[in-house]
Amino acid sequence: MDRRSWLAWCSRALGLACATVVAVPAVRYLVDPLRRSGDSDEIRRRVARLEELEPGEPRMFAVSGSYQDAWTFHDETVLGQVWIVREDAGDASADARVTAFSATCPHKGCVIPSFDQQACEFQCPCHKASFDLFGEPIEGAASGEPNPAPRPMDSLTVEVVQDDASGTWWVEVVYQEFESGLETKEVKG
Amino acid sequence: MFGVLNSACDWLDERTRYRALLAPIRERTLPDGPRWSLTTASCLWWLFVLEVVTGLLLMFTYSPSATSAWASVFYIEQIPGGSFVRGLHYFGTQAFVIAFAVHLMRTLISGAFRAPRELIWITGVLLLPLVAAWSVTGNPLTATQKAFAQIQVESEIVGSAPVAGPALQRILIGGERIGNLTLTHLNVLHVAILPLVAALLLGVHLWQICLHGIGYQEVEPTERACAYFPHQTIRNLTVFAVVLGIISYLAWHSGAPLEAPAGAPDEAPPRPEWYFAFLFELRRYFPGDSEIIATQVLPGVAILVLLLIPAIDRLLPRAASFGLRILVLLIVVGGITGLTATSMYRDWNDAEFIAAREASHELAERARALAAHEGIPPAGPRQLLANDPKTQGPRLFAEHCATCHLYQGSEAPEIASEEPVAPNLYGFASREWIRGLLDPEKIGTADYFGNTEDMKAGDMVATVHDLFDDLDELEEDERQEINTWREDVVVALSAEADLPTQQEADEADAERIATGAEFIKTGDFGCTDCHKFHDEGDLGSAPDLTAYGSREWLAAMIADPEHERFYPDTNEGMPAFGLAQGNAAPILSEAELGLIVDWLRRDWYEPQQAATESRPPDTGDSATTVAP
Repeated sequence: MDRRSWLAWCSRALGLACATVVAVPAVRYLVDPLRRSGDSDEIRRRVARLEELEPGEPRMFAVSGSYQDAWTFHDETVLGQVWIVREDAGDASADARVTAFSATCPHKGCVIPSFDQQACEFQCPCHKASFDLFGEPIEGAASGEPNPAPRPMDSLTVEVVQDDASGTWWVEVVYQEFESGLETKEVKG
Repeated sequence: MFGVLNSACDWLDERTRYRALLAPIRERTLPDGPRWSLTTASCLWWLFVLEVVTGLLLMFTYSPSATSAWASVFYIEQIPGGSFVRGLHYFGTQAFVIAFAVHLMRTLISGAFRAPRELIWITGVLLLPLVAAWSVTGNPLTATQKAFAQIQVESEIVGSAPVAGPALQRILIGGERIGNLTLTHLNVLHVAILPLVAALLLGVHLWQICLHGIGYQEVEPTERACAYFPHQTIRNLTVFAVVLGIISYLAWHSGAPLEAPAGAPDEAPPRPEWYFAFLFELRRYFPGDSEIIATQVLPGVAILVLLLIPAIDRLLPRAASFGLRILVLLIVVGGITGLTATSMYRDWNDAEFIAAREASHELAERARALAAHEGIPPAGPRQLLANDPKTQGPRLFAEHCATCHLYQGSEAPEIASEEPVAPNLYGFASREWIRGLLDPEKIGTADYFGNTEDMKAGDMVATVHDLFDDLDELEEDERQEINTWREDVVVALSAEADLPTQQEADEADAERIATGAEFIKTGDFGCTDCHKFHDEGDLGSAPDLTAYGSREWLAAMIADPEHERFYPDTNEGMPAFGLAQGNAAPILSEAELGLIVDWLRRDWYEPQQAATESRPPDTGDSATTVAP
């Protein structure tokens, strides 16, 4: 190899080395959000008093908790919404049957804001995904458009508990977020 | 792979003719061989690329607002690679300033500005104030205390300009006070406007070089003549690699400093970046109204003279022009070096300045430790130090308590009390403190009731003397018994405070605490003859010993010392800090009271040693950072 081509190769190697010194930390810095993905913890919260619920009439409640938004730490902030449905006739509190769904639409992740009492369906305003009282997708919904929902609404673990001090009956929900767009329910993260 | 690359380049060239465009740069020949002195241009170019790349990377995270700027920079420091990228940007700037100066000097000496290359020279000189503005708009983006002080001063300089100055200053700041708009304005200048102007100037600069080549190419060819690539390229890259190596080392080893967020309690005297120190020093020689000479006239004249160099050169014979340029260079370089050195020398010999800077470094470290521990509250990073007992306690104590109380001990900050008339509160309610209270040799000293006249002559001092004065005359076992009881009382009473610093000891001595508590109630010392202790004794004659020294007890005591629980009749002039005074608010707010109490109880977050070691200490104030 002559001096010229040896120098040419050295130049390229040196240039590459300089680029690497910057590129490696740059990539590590840029992909940092991937490293921080595994923090979708379960949040167990009392979201509603049992007496607020009428049988067969779903109501939406906010779930709050602490949340680290990059640099800001929110001590108590709204993390999401849940739909709570009371199924029994509603006298004996201890035996109350309650179901809870995440209000996040399993199609594209919009919030399902309302329940149409007349048609008895949840409808997502974004793409008209619709679900019945049990969270199952409805075929031939009121809107007449095809239902894009890939799966039922995401049900959440729910429990009716009595407050030791006050004796009030509470609906306690284990809130989680799930990946949207999939046919199966998978925890986010 | 190179085959594919080559054909891709061919494809591009057929359409753009870029090779012909770049030919003057790519296919240059060097008539007298490669030279090290020619490397400054390429070094500047690659430093510019480095600044652009790292700047873009930082923009992925940086958030320009008064509540989030410091926080997002702190966050960048926490991301793997983030601290390094920010360090490259920070030290890259300094290297750029140095390389710029060297490049300017070289081209000034070599006469690179001569026809037809005047535009190369002029665009280069115009880049000088632009680079200064780039630095001035970049450094305050951290929204640290120092950054805000810097932009305050720099905007005043803008404001002192004739005619449009005040309006410009107001627009720059976004109002009267530095805040959200200051940061959004500086940010858009730093990342959009100045880069666009710089790109324009740099574009003309490079286009002219393509068009006219560099002056050196006109030298008579010798036998050393060779192609630019790779003979000059290897030199260029070697120099840049060395510079990058130094920058990388600094970025990795010390990183860019991050001072305490704006709004922290102590304001260290602001200093500009080291490369502006000469201007800072220059101002000292132009006091009052003449300051404008240092801040605007002289720098303006210098730029103007540089711009006129090609014209001046034409008027003079070559030798005279060369001599003049050397003279100008010597004056300017000598002047800048001298002023910079004077400024630094002054600071190094200013004990007060060094102490203030030390204090501000400690605050910065504290702010970072708190941010790492608890995250940054939604109201912004200034809450971190504002709600920190360790930071605020000594300040509040010095302001409100030290007129009477001492605070002296092994780990105590120095809080001077000119004329102490009340007990030393260092370690209040700790075992050590109570031990002293029950020691006849100590209770009458300035640490306890030595300076409070009534208390000194009062029942407590008398009782301690009665109980423990004559221990030496007793039999050995009797003396030991009394001492054991005394220590039980100390341990039990101190446990009432529930001090976080004593938590382990209190847990270990649970039995002793129970024994001591029982003894306080019913034992021979007769504590409950005067004091109330849980369900024993009555309030009114002496302070309540129930939960003595606890957070609640202390807060209530400071709020209203003459309350029945404390010193209803024997208070010697301590104000009720927490009670509203007629229509006026209390002397101390509830939050301030809490901060003093937590500080007295040493109840604050202290990082584990290992946690603080993750980042080496700051290189310090960049005013004293040595050039790379």
